Amino acid sequence: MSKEQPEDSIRLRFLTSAMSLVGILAASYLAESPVWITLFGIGGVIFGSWLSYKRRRKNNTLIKIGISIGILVVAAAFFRELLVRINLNIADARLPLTNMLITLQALHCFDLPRRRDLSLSCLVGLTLISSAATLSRDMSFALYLAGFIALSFFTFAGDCVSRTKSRAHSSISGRQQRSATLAWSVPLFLLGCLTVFMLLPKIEIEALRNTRLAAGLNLAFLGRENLFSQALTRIVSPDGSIKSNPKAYYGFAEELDTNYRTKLSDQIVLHVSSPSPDYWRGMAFDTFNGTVWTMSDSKTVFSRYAEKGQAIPITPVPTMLYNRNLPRKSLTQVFYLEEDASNLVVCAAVPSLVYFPSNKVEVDLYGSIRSPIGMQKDMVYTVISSRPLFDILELRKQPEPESQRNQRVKRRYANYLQIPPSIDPRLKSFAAGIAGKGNYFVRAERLKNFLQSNYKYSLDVPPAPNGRDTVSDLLFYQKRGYCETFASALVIMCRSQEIPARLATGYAPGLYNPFTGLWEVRLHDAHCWAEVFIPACGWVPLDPTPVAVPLGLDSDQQNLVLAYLENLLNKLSKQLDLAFLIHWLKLLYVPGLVIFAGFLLWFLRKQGSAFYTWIRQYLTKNSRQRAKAGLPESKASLAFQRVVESLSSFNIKRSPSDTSLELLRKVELRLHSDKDGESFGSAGDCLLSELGVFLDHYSEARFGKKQGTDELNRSADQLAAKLKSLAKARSGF
Amino acid sequence: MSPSRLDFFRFSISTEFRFWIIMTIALVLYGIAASIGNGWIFLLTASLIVILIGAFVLPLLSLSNIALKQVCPPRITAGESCRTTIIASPRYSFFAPQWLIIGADEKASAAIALESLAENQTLTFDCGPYKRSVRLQPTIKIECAFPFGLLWLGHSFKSRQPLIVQPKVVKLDGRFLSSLRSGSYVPGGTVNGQSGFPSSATRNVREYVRGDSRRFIHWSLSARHNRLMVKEYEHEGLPAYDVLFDCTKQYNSAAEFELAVTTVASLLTTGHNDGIHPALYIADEPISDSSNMPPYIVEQVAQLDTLAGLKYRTKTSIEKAISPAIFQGRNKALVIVQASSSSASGDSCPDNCGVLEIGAKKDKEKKQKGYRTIISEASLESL
Repeated sequence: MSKEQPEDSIRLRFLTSAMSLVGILAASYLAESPVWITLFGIGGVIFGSWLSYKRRRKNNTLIKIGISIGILVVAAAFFRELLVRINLNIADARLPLTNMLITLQALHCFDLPRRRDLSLSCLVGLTLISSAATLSRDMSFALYLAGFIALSFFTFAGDCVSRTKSRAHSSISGRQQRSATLAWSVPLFLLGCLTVFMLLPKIEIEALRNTRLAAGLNLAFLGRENLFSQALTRIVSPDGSIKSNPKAYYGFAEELDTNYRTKLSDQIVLHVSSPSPDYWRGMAFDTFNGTVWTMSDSKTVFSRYAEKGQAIPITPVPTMLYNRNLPRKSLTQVFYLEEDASNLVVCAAVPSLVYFPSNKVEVDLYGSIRSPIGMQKDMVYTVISSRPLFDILELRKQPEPESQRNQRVKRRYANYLQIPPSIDPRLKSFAAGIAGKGNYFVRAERLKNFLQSNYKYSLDVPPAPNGRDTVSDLLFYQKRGYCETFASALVIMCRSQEIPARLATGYAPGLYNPFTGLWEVRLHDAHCWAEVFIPACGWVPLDPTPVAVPLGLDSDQQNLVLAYLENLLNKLSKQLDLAFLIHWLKLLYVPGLVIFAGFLLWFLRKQGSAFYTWIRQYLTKNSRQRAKAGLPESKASLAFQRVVESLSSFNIKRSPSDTSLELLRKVELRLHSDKDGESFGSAGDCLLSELGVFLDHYSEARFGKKQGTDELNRSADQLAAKLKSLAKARSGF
Repeated sequence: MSPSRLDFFRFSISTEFRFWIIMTIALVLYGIAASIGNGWIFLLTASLIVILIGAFVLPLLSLSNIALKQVCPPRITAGESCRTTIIASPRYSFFAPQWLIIGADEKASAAIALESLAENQTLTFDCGPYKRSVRLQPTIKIECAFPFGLLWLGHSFKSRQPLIVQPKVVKLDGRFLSSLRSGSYVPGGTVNGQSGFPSSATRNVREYVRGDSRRFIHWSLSARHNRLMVKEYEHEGLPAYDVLFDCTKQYNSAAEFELAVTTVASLLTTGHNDGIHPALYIADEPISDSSNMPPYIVEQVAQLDTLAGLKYRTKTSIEKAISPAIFQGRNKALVIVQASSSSASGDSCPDNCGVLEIGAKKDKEKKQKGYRTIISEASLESL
């Protein structure tokens, strides 16, 4: 087996190095690698690639020994870091792995003599970019990935050229259209990748889904029983109305005033990695005074501790107990905090295990988990929930509970049956008319459906006037509301029918980003819904808000990709500030014009010639077809034919194959022949020179680019007249 | 040598090892993406899938965009190269094929890498050398793997035009032929192919055979050797002769058969060059009707074409003697080319008949007048 020759293509080496650099930059940025690792990676790739090109035909024993030692050191550092992380209960090995790959890539670049080594370098680059992809949580990674894919296209092409050259005996350079064609191919290639990505069936393998992660910040512990929220920074206007902070949801506090009015921002507050969507539950309220929801006991909390430095088991509190026979599904969710938040550990109901940066969490009476440490940006935690699977048909079929059991429920959940005395007296009979008869679930469901069908969702609802509760305001006056008022209405209506119910707050699932595979939960996804107690089952969530995101999004992934892109474009168009755009356009006008002119020139230079050739071929083909069809010939040809006809009076015949020069030669021979030489004399010479000039002009007009057929016509007429007069003079002799 | 348009679709695929590596990586990435639910890795997988698909589709489009014309001589001699010229051009101008490997007759060592085929390209290849045969003109194979270089897609442009590889011809010395005597009217039993005037320069001296003119007897030499010797002159023409190629008997090997064919071709060419225009008879093959023969030069070409098409048979099914009629009433000598293992057409060779036996002679005692053994091309040259 012959040894592979060293690779001489600088272009291929450059592209390979560029791929490695993009991989290193993406990985170091997303893994937040130490600066020295990033610099070592970049420097190593640049210097190593140059050195390996210079020494590609040499043995490089010392360099290879150096690389081997370097690999051993890097591997040792990796395993050390891994041990440290295991001791610190950090299960995520991606960061040390990424750092190790960066250094390995840099070391490998010192020994790239052959094409297969370059291919291996690309493979390490691919591993790096894949590693970075797993760390990415937003769309900024798209730039790195697009750059990497585009570079990979060029690298493949460069490699192919090198292979083609080495496979052939010799090579011939054709017309230079290569770079232009390749440049045009890259956007098409990227488009093709996106199309295949959309068409690709995205199956889910649960085995490795959601590695349990918990990464936190070194924060001081808070008070044990307190609930902290940024939403407490409320603004009371001079007119008495209350406005809350648009950067925090006011429902994550010890009280929820349903008269608050705010439009929450579009900011992403959470990234959730979860195989299926759910409501990310924060907390619950049981007491309502007509306007404000509070917790009857917010101070009682139960501490839950981690076992042997592992996960924290969440033993359910009595108000979160479900029937043991109910089927359940385990749901692992990883939460990445993108903004500072209140110390509520939001998660899908019902949490069973929590991987958290601290070794304990608190659980209140309503099943909410509170963090003993501040929940700050970049914190990561994992919750495994045991999700009860409610069978609606079964729930509907359940018999109505006996009166004895009813009494027991009433006693046990008295706080969940509380109705404010200030509530409109019409409400009970109104709710009874809608709920009708049936079991708990059937009646609650009817109430929910009634609210969803007969009321409208609106954020522009004025606060309820003094003395009127927000529920009556929605049901009997405004007929429109938002999630807090709808949920409040359902809870109070259920309670009026002696069905225990409470108000829960949290986040809607958010928008699934098919690229990152994460649910993007924005602040405006903060949501409120009702939880209704169904005997022999447990607390069933019911969302009466008309535009609520339905639970269990099962639409296929292709539609999700399109939906995400559509959403992104809509947001962009909404966020486009016209004045801002015009300002930037003004600033970019001149450089933009220069760039555009340059692009136009480049385009004309590269593609214009091809287009011109095509046009010329097309026109030539058409002119041939016209000639075949017997269409009139060009003016130049007609002028030439007139001259040829005039020459026939001198008995000079032009055969079809005669060129202009041959015709001139014939005329010259004829005029200077012994017989007629004397008769023509100087007039003959003059005629010859004029004929020569005419034929030159004719050739240029007929076969060249020169215009001026009118002038040619005039010359032809003059020449024909001269020939006629000369012929007359000759006959006179 | 008119150009033939080749538009047959014959595609072949060969994969680089990298193709399988990329496919494996794509599968692994897909598995990882499905496991961790990461869309970026799905996108990376999609890009690898596009590369794998593009590695097949783009070369296919490139190759489909190539129109080819081939110019090749219709006849060559065995052992010679065939110079083939091809004119490659793109069918449409917006997708110019790039980085093609063009080779003729699957001869990879002479393949040419063409960077771009934006306009007509004329390329010349030396194909062969070929053995004596009647075959099709060299096949042009164009391969392309651009731009991904994972999969080589080849398109063979196979010509329908025949290429006749005529047998090799050796220049004969003419001694053996001179010893033949035909029954023709030519004085001295010879035909002068050059000028018609006998030359005074002596070329050779040989033993007298029946039919030689007594004028050419070298009397002093005959007296010295005690047998009649005759002189051969420099410009003395050859006797008029025909050639009978006896294929009814088994040749020992293909090489022997080729030597026999070369011998026949050389005899015929020598005859035609000297103006004799010998006829060719092939025993075990239909004998050409001379009345339908084209003019001499065409006849020579036709004879060589016929020889080009003869095939060596390891077993001869037809065991038949040559018709004696062919030896009777001839006004030209007859040269019989046959296998050395075969028995002669008659134990006694007629006066106007010479026998050339191809291959080592087993029966060494069988030395008769008019017999010669050809065992190599070297011995053929001195014929």
